[in-house]
Amino acid sequence: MKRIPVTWITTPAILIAFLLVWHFYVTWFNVSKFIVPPPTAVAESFVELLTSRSTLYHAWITLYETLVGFVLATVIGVGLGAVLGKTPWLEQALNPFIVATQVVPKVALVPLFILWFGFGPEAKIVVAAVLAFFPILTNTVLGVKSVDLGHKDVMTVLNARRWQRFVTLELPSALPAVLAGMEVGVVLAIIGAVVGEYLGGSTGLGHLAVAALNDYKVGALFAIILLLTLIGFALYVLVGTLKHFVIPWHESVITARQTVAG
Amino acid sequence: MGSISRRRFAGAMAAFAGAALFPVKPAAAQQLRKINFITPFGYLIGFAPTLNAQAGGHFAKEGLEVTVLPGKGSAVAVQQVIAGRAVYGRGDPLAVVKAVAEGAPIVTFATIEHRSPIVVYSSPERPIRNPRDMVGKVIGIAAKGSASDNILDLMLANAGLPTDAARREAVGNSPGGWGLIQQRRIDAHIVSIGTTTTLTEAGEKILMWSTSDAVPMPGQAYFALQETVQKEPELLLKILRAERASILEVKRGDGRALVERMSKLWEIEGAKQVDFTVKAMRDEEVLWWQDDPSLLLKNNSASWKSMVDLMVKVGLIKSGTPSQFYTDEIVSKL
Repeated sequence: MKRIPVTWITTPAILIAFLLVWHFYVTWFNVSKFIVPPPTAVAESFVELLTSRSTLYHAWITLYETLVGFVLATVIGVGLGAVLGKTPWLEQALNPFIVATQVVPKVALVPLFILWFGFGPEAKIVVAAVLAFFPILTNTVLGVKSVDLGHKDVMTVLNARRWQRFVTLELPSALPAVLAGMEVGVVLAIIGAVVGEYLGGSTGLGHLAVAALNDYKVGALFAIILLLTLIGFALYVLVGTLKHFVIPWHESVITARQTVAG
Repeated sequence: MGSISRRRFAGAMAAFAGAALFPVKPAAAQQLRKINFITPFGYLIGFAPTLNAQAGGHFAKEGLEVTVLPGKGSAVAVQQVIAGRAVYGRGDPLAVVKAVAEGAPIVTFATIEHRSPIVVYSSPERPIRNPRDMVGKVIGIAAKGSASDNILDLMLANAGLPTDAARREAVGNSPGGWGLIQQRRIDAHIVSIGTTTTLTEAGEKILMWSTSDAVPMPGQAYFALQETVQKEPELLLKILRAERASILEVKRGDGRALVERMSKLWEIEGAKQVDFTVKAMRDEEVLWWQDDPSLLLKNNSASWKSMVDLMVKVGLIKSGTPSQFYTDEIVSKL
């Protein structure tokens, strides 16, 4: 008989426990609904949110900004990462500037992006891309540099050309690290999109969150955060699922399959 | 040589020991009650009545030591007072009314600014002079649901216009909005008076007018929990006495010296340029000041009614009468 995976029981159990603790906390300590609303109020607001056309519109805007920003970050990050991974002197020369893009607080740059790109999704796409770029780039560089030396020797013995070496060995070897970077990158992309919406424009779930806070609809604010969490989680799982198709031979995929199979 | 009796010596020693056990403290060193106050936005010179009340010892004279917490918007200030992290806060009255309408247990106990600190500015080349000029235009606001957003609704409604007559974009409250006007991304920007002072001092030619010209309403208010008003009216009265003394000192005092004194305690925005900050303070002072000092901090029932009626009209609240949102219980004793 097929065993039920343990996570099918533990994850819902932890969630139920969390909701119960939350409910009892606000009830016993008489916490104001303006600070922490009870889970039932959040659930009501969540249902109201999902049944509103305007919410679906704003959610689509945030998703669009996140996906476009993420794709941009992936294309630039993987492309530049592959070049830097193969060109150590260039990597050393550009490293300070690349680290600077990560270290600069993006929140401080958002008003500049709005000035340059306007109020529409463009500014938020740029913020999403800038946030997602660094982990994808650094993981790609690491992946390209981490090709097994023995495999490289085999390629040398076979007289492989540079492009053959790259396509048949270096790129597939780098993919596990690249995909790990993309998993982190997609989460940062949605954070970037929402931060951009907080600070400028009139669309997106970040904008709705600010409106809910200013109108004291704290239940609605929690519901928007929940929706953003679910979207972020779904994107993370989607990118993680790519591994099963792109690197089915990798240990991490084989182990995951074995865990699910029980 | 004379001698003293044992009785006299013992009495002197007892008196000395008693004095040592029960010293008389100087009044200044007596324990001050520590309370928190939250601003609607950081540390701005517009909050001088409170900042100067602490820096100038006016709170100490009332037995208080006030820690000024920097807020991030009136809504946040309201929530922090509800959470008990501040005894009282300052914010735009629209935020207080909306909160009370949602069931928040707070109430306004004094009005600090009798005209709104929110102004509208635009380029003289494409002027926006009144709400009618806003029809079909793009207006920059601080954020959705903020004071500037809500005041725009009230201005349009008071001019007999629908609230969607003007498009709005959230662009924050900073002077950077001027760049957006010059780029023609927005046609006007609704900001606090400090932002326009910064622009004019920087030599920018802007056209500005007060939102109070378009809709009579109180400017900014002090609010506290209803429980505090009921159980600790004396505390709030002491706060207001100190604030009033502070306003009078700012009005009559040396602006430079006052700004420098306040700057020692807080990082007041722009305070490194003292002359500019003094000018900004004088611009804000016009909003607190009433020609009759006995009206300082008092709630003006007519402007509250005008604001509440308009808020109901535009749908910011479902219903309400001004007496739900403010009380004269404390200021009437001032």
